[in-house]
Amino acid sequence: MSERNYWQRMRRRQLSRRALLGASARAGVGAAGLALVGCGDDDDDGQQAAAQVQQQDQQQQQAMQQQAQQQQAQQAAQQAAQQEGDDQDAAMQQQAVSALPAPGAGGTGVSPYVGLSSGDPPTLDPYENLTYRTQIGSAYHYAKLIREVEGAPGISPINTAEISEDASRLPEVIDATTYVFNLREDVHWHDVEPLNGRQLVMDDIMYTYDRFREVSPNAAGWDKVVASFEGGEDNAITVGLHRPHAPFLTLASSSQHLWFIPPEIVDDGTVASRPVGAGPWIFEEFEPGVALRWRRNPNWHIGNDTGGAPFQETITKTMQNDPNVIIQAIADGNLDMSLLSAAVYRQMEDAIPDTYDLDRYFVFTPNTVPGGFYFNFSIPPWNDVRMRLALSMAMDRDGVLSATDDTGQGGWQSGISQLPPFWLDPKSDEFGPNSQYFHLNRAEAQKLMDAAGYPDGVQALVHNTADYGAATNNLYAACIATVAESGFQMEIFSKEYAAYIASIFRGNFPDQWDGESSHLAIGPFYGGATDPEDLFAAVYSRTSGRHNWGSSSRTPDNRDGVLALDTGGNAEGWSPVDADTFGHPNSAIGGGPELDETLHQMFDDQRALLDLEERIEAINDIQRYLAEQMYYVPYVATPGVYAFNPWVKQNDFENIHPKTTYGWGGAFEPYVWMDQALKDELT
Amino acid sequence: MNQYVIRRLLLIIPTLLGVTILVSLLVELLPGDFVDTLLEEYTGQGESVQEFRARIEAQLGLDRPWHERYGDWLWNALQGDLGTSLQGSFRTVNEELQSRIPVTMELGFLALVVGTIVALPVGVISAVRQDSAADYILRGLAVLALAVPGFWLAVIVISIVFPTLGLPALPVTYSTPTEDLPENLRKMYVPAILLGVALAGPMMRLTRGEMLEVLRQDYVRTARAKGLQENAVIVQHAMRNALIPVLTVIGLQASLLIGGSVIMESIFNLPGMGLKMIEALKRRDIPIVMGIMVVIALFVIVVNLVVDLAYSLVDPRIRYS
Repeated sequence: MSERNYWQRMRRRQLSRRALLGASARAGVGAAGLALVGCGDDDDDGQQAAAQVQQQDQQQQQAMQQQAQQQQAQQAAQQAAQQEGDDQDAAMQQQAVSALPAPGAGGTGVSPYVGLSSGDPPTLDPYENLTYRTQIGSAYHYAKLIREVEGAPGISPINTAEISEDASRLPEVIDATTYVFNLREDVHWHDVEPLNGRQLVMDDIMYTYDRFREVSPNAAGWDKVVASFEGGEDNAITVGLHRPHAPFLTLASSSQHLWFIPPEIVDDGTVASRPVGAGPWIFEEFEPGVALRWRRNPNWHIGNDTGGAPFQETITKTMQNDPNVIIQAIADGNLDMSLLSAAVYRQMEDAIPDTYDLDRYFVFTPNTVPGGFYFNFSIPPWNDVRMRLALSMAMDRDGVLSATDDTGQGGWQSGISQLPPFWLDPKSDEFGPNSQYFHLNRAEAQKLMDAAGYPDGVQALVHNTADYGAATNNLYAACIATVAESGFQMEIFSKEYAAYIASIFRGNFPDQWDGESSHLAIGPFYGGATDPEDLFAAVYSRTSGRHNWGSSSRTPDNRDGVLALDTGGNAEGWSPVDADTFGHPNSAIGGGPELDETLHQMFDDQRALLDLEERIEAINDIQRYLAEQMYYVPYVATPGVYAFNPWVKQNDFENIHPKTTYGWGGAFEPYVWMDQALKDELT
Repeated sequence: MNQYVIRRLLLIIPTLLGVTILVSLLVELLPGDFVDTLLEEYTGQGESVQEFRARIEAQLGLDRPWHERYGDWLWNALQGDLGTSLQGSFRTVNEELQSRIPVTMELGFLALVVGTIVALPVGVISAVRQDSAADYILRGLAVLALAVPGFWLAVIVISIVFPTLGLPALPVTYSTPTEDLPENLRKMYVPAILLGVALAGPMMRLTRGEMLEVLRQDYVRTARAKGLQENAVIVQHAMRNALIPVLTVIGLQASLLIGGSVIMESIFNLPGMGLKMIEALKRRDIPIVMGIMVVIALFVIVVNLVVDLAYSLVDPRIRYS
């Protein structure tokens, strides 16, 4: 099978991004040059020196100037991209436009709501519950300021998610902490009761913003970044940040924040059951346990710019989640497409007719959910970095992949999973010397174990929950099997989901279990990330309320209290933690990522880097650093697998672009249509 | 008879009360609670877990002691309001149950019909032809039906039987019998057969055993001696008596069907109570769990009452007073 889909597109997009960045940088340099020329003086030497000093002093300001040029730069970049030989994109775009169906002629699509994880949303109000089952539905019927999009012509260089305008135009960047969003005037609520297609106005935005901050559990994360949000009479919203925050536009476009919800449906109490928004799809029905149904919004403001999208007349998202039933239904044409998993890829491949083109049928996407072995750091042996490194070097990741991934598209994950474009492949030369900690090296693992005082290995119970499904359980089993050869004798100890989340997931490990170490778990940490910042803030940061690493009070100042908490007076058989070294993250004993000053400094630094390439490099360094700390030992990344029947089409026919984030309903689904004639022919 | 029925109906009240107290306490004792289940999707920003917990618990009233919460629930339940899911306010527990009870009941009823249709004749034939080849084959099938897990059988049917035989795939959505009966049956027939077959195993073995015992009774011998045809002996004399314990088992199986329906509803995407119950338990969604348990308890009580009353119809010697 040829290399295809995501990885090919990724390279192409990066080329486009580079062209964009190049243009952006040229624009920035030009602006800086103009500024310098403007400060002209006859004394060349003095001027040069002064300019250098001024340049150093005003680095931040120049970055702002670069940002301010983004809007113009985007257009310049598109021209530059074409001029620099990115003909493929242009040709495809042209082909796409000519291939678009007439609006509303895109048939009716039926597919599982969230693939094998489908299930009822408990509410349709995205501010009431954070579950993906609620958040994902919002992208279908609601609009927001700017949105995640696939294949958008304008990509902001300071963001990772590809964004485009939604209810607002792309923002003007006034300075590093001030963004101005101009509302579009052609945005209307759906033409159904009680909104009846009225225009979306500034009062609606401010109403929904207040409600978001009042009700949504996600508002706290937003408030940490955003200091002010002010609507003016000129349809401009000025957003002020507390400090420069590189991924701000990703945050603003994220499908977990700030959906515009009209006051009418909040007032009449139907927000949880009958959403009315300004998004691409008009909500029709939610039949619990069966399906969610939408029909196309013929007045979608983005549709005018995109050839009349959304193209499908109606879409039905079923709550079916059994893999066998889904696979048979796709093969029979009862379902048009579905998110699957690597674990059932072979079964799906076997079920489809031999005549189908596999390269067209399957699309693989990178895995953005970090996961692996994780630990309690305050008690041996896992507080010793050598043991964590040894565990990592004892893992035969390629062996695990061969046992769990039939697609052949999987790979290794670093400390930030495989989040594009920041992921640095631990297998690559670019990763540098710390790449060694990911490679299977049993001899080196043994040396590390010897040095740490565990020459015979360790026996350990590995906590987990089996509720993530058979594929994940197989992954756990493969990981445990492969490290056993190096002396890590592990036994899976599963807990029921809620019990697991209540204890192990929050770092509350039992002290010991029949003489075995039990301060170890395996599992995923965080889903739905669109930027590494999501992971840094939620998983690693000391300011995170999650504390996957254990007690929430692990600071040197309350060391005694934490020690008491960790041992619980019942640490029989374990060496006491050295009170003097506890809290020093880079020592062998004590402390997890929460206390790692180096790591947190790196987090802070990358947040201030508004230049994407610089930020990527900084995050690459973080990944290298995380590799030598192994705060968690990443397992492998099996890809997301999407199956598309041949009659499912997108404007870029050869390259269907599924979106891996919660924004699928607004970023991908509007641009898909069903070739009914082909479907009739094939089924 | 009437007094007996009234007495049994009155007994429903303390039974239900006991069930609700027990369920509520058991859910309370389970490790992890509803707020814990939110933590995986909690971004951890802006507030600590403790603050997050306090806020959510205050919002949902979970910060009050158990007896207060139970008392409130009971008071509202007595007024016909079983509350709202902790996970979201899409619809009330009453609305949830109204749409889900018929699905589970329909699946259970169809499975019972399938099980009975299969088990009774097979059990009788097996008994009448005791130790013949047919008896051995049928007994073997019954053991197989008992031993094979329903979910495994379902996977085999979907993944192998359907493609091999070229059968059309099952509908991916659900229609109620009133909306579209053929479509409804197309969705229901496979899970009903699978559930019915599982039910038929023990029922068939019991029918066979009871028939063998009855066929050796004096009154059967007398009937044969009187010159009655064998069919009349078996159907009118033997079967009627053999069915009394079978009826009891059918009653008990009807309760167990709720459990079986969880698996079938999950695999075949049927919007019934079983599927909802599993999700609610996983999320510690107490109002949903309580609501469904009340329905299941009520169902079991009523089915048992009906079975008891049916004894008197089947066996005239039984009189309730």
